[in-house]
Amino acid sequence: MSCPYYTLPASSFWRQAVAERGVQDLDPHLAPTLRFTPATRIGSAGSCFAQHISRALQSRGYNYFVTERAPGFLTPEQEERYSFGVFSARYGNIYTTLQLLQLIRRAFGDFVPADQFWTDNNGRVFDLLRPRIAPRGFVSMTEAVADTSQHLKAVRKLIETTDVFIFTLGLTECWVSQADNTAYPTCPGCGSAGEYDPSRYEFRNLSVAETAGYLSEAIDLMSTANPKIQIILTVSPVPLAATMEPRHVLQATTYSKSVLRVAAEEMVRRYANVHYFASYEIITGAKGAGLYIGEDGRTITPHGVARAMDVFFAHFIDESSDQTAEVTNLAAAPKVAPPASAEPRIVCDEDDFYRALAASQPQ
Amino acid sequence: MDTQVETVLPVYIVGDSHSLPYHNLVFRERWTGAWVMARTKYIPGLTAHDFFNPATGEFHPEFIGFLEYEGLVRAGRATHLSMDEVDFAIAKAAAQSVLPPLILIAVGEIDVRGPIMRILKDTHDFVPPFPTTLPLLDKSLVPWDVIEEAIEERLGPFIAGLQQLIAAGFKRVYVQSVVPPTRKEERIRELQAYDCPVTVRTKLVQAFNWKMAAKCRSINLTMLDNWSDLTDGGLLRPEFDFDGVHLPPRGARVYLEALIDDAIDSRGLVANHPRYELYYRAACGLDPFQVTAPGAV
Repeated sequence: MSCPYYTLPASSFWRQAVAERGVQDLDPHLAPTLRFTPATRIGSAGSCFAQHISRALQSRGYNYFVTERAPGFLTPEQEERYSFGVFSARYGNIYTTLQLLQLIRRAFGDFVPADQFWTDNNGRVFDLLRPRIAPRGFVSMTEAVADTSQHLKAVRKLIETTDVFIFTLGLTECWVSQADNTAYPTCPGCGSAGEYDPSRYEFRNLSVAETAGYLSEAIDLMSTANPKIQIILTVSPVPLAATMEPRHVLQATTYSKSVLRVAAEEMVRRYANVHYFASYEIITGAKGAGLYIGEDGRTITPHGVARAMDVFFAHFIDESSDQTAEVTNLAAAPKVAPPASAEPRIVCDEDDFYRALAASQPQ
Repeated sequence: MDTQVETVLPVYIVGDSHSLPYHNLVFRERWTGAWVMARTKYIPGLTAHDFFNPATGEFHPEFIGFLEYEGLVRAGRATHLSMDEVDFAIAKAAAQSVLPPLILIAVGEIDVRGPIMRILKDTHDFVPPFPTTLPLLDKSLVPWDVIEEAIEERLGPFIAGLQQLIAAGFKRVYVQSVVPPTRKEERIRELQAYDCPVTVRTKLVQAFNWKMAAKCRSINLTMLDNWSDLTDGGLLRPEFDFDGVHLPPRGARVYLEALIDDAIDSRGLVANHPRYELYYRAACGLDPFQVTAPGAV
């Protein structure tokens, strides 16, 4: 009997698939199991890195599905300031699978956080689950509650009607409410909205079982609400800005990304409508790391983003689609050039949080 | 036949088409029975935003033209404060009051109905920072801060202009609030080529007035706001809906009476020491315009 490895394709062997390939040719995917066309509705959520995908989809003319749209006549600066169009709805960054699950449960009326709003000394109200959505806070609790209600309707509409939902897993570390386990995107009161109170908030670092469990529940809910939904999972290649664990941030990052990668893998194996896009492997793979990661070891370079997006489109575009013109043109178009200095800012709660934290740190 | 010559108290009303209902309005004010007469200037398309240019320090040319025509400004100065012989002679000949003139400015409706309302159209609503009886519709929300920013952008030049007027000595300036909008949705569709529900439009006007009133207060001016007289259930009373945009003359009179009431109650604003001094010298048999040498007795 011949060895089973003899039957495997080149992609299974490091030498042919990696070692003998240039960085720009390296595509860590096999044949696609999902294709989309310009008409496909594509929604997204996730960590900071997820914004590269949403922007690339929009800039290439794909149907980036936004259910919480900016009102007319806002300037691009205003749209960014109020987080319109950053994601499909104004949920801000969703770093953990627990956050995603709770968002979906809230959208379907199944969860009401006990500790969501915080009022500052000027009477402005902040949504701790979306701390950047209203930069100065809401003018009143009435506005905060009304805005949240409309936001959750938009999330529900997104889940119920999108064709594809891309979720970028970002972190396992999170802060939760001791009252009801509500997961916040950042630690309340640490350089951002809210007041840190150890009797109300606690740190948690989700395990593989927890991360996969929450993600599985979220996928079940989405698939029940929208049986046709296709889900693409990615893992953000951006390391942790800081860890609350009593260990080196590099170890904490390795743990976190490993857990997220395993959780994503488990979902792909478990669900036929879940797919994986290897942005993490593209960026952090040994061959690309030097080119795709900045000197700080954390920032993804424009080359890295461009390469990841090129692979994303090469992998998921249905070039045989009848909606030909646009697709053909897009496919024939030059690869994404590394953006110059005019690259739009990535809205990142985590980075802003740590910047503010550093600025306010006692000397 | 005996004829009695009476003078009237002029109120100078200038603005967009909302100055038109005041045109030729004459009535006896209810406190002294004196005649009040509206002297109006309609400046087509005048907005709060275009009233004054803070960058150049220039008012809308037609506004200045009106003040000059009425003799309120000459050679770039307020004539009621002038100690110039010619200005004094003109004031006496024209029987102009010693007091600073009463001026009412009506702008803002075009700002609300145009650049601000288009943010909302019929797709969005918003939550204002003040209590309102108007409902919040089941629509996407525009953050209040966005609405406020839009209002500030339109009001900024106007308020800067008002400050300039005060600095020039026009202390009895009033601002007319934007009138409640029509209930007729089809009229808005006709005017703007899009829909915007009456509750949203009305709330937007309230918000604009709310900001404008606060800004007027901050510079010691009064914004005339007769909202409760003109509305019922929070919306414009049908009898005050003249043509889907403007008030009828009786609505204008409501504002004008409020202005007179306030002017009577605000005597602190009327002192005009330069002119008192001229009259005093004249009463003493002195040439009011003869320059007295310093130290002379």
